[in-house]
Amino acid sequence: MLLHEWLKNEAGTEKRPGYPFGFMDEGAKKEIRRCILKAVAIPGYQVPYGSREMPIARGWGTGGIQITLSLIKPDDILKVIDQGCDGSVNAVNIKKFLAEVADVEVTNDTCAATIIQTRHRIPEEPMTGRQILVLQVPYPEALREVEPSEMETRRMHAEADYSRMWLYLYEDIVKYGEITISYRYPVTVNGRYITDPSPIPRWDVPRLHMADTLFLFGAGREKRIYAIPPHTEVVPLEFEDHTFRTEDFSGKACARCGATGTFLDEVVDNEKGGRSYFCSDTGYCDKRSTTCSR
Amino acid sequence: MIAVENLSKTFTLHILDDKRIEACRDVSFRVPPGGFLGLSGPSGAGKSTVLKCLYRTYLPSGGAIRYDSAFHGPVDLARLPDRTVIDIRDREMGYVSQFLKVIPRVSTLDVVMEPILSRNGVSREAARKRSISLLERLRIPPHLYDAYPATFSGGEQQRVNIARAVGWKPRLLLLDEPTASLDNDSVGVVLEILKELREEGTTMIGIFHDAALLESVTDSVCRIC
Amino acid sequence: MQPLIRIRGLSKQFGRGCGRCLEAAEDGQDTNLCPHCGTVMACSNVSFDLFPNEALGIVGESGSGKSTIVRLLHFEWEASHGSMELHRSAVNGRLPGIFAEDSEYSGNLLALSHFQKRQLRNSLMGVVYQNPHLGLRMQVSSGGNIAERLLGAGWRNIAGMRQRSSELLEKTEIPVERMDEPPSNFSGGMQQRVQIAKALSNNPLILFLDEVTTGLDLSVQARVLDLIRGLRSEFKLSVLVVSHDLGVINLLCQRTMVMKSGRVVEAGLTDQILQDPQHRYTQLLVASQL
Repeated sequence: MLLHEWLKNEAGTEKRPGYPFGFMDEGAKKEIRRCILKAVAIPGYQVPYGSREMPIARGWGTGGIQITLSLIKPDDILKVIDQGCDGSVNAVNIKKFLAEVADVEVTNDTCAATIIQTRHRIPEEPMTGRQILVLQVPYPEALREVEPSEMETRRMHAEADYSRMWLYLYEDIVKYGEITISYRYPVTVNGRYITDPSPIPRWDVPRLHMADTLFLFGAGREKRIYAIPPHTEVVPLEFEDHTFRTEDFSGKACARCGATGTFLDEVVDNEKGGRSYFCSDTGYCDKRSTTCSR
Repeated sequence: MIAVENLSKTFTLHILDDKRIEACRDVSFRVPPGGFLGLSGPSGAGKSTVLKCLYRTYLPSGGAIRYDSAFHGPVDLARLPDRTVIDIRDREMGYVSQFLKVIPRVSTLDVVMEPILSRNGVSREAARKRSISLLERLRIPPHLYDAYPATFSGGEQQRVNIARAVGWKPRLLLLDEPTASLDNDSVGVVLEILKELREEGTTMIGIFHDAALLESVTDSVCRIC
Repeated sequence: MQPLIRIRGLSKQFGRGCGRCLEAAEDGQDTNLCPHCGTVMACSNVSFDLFPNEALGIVGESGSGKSTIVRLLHFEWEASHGSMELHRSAVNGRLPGIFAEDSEYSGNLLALSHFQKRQLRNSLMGVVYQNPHLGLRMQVSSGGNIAERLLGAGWRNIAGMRQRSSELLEKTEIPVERMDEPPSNFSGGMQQRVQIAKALSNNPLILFLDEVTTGLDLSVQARVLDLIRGLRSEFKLSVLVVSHDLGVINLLCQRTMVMKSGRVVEAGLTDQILQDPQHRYTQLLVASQL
């Protein structure tokens, strides 16, 4: 069965006259899918693409949305999070839009979703080979910190000339005793390209390594798509005597569900002056709160 | 050991409208191994020119310089490629002029030690000992060993120059007025040192401004005019 | 002994070029501009050999093409014509792709890809420029400048790199306590010495020195030159010394090439060039020396 026949069968009458299924026309989706395939074939390499107009402004997730719209089918189950939270304004906004134009079910449960679009976090529960994580990327170029010219960074990637990135890390260690990069920590993908994993915290970086799931990265404003396929080596840039380390939450637990092994958001109580910690991944926190006894 | 046949040198000065200056013409002589040949003649006759042609500082215009090299066999110095000349200078052929080539920041002791270290392959300690004994004989006081020769008197510089030239015991030594700025006592020491060098087998060709000195020191004399 | 690198027919032109450029810029024409098409022949048909453990001087005035040679051999500019071949012993089994089965010399290195050229450059060459801003990153610490070459070669141990940087700074007589300061804090002579340390960091076989003491105070110049002399004999480097100063060439080099208007007009032993110059231009140069 061809896709358009399947769409007609499943979707029935057009939901929104004048708009194709999934908001973008098939030509656009085709181009983006081809770019995704190329990105998967060259792990960590930024593939340029024609970023289409979206009904939200650039810098608010248009790259992630375009990838999701190119892949989504009516029988997909969608989850959208922003900084780990299903309920934030932006996540809800995008979720409503995607659900409307693709006529899909939505969920807060990571394990139930087939496509998850996220901004700046990877869900705590490990994803499977049947799921896809689509990450929204503000700045796809890992080398931008050391080189402002696009022509030059492209050459550096092409020739694997990364000494200036390493020099930047060396200087950090000399000045501050450690590497001070906290989010957008540069990683080497498949032993070849230095890639920006998007502004996820260090905590999430190890999850990219030899994962079961496909990670797709979309930058709408910068017009780049890149990918980390399943079972790919992803190694954060580190030195033999200054190795990579994640955030340290020892001694702290989520005030809501009691979890001690998740990435925690710090909340300062302005009135009483205390600090509490809550799971950044609210879906996971909800699950734990309802199932475990307090 | 060395046989010069009809050596000629003419300079063409392009910047003076191609004026030609003949420095020496048809010079021939032979020196047996271990021999000492003197070059005599009036000033400007071309004696220094001959030595410089042998050392290849000048490019001979005509003639041949047949030399028995220990490492390259019989060669014609006038026609050798640059690299071979450098090798011969490094390993067999030395040159002493009236002036010390001053290298900044190299002490007197280092000036004498350097050629010994790089050419004789002996230990640093052995090179040091040999250098110090030479400098002692040439009456350079010990407090000058780590000083830079640039500020020494002419005579002192020349004595350092001689120590440098003989320290590594070249097979062939070319001397251009080596005793010109030295007092009589120093001259005597230098001649002794040269004699010892000859006894160890060095062949020499030299120019001395003092005709009597020339006659007394050399085995044979070739008159350049 | 075999040459380490063989340069044949090296030429660089700026301009579209025509069939008559080479003949127009011939010896005696006293210009490197082609009268037919206006192309500038920065250097034409330069050929020479560089042997292991020797210092070769290139002397000439501004516009002679001597710095162009360095740019071309250091793979910074693309040559218009010519070849550069490397002796097999230089790479010791690394970079095998550039050598055909049984040949002693590589193919033309100037025709390699950018990636291969960069690999070659990082493992074999070091360069020191007249202007330290060209050779150093002024805002990065001195130790970092030296470490950059090591990082490019795959070093991943901070303590190890700092150790190597310290060694090199000691060798170039820079106080090791200043390793973490950027070169912008240093005097001109010190900046040059940082450049030298950086150039030596990856144990190069060939060192290019492009007018390294021009503009330095006399005492500083003496120190830098003495340092270079010592390092060359200690590390058995092949050094290409480009300078317009005959005194510098005389001090460092046993063989010299004289360039004028992009062509080599004379080549020979340094003392012969200075005391018995053959070519008209060389005679002029020597006569003009202070």
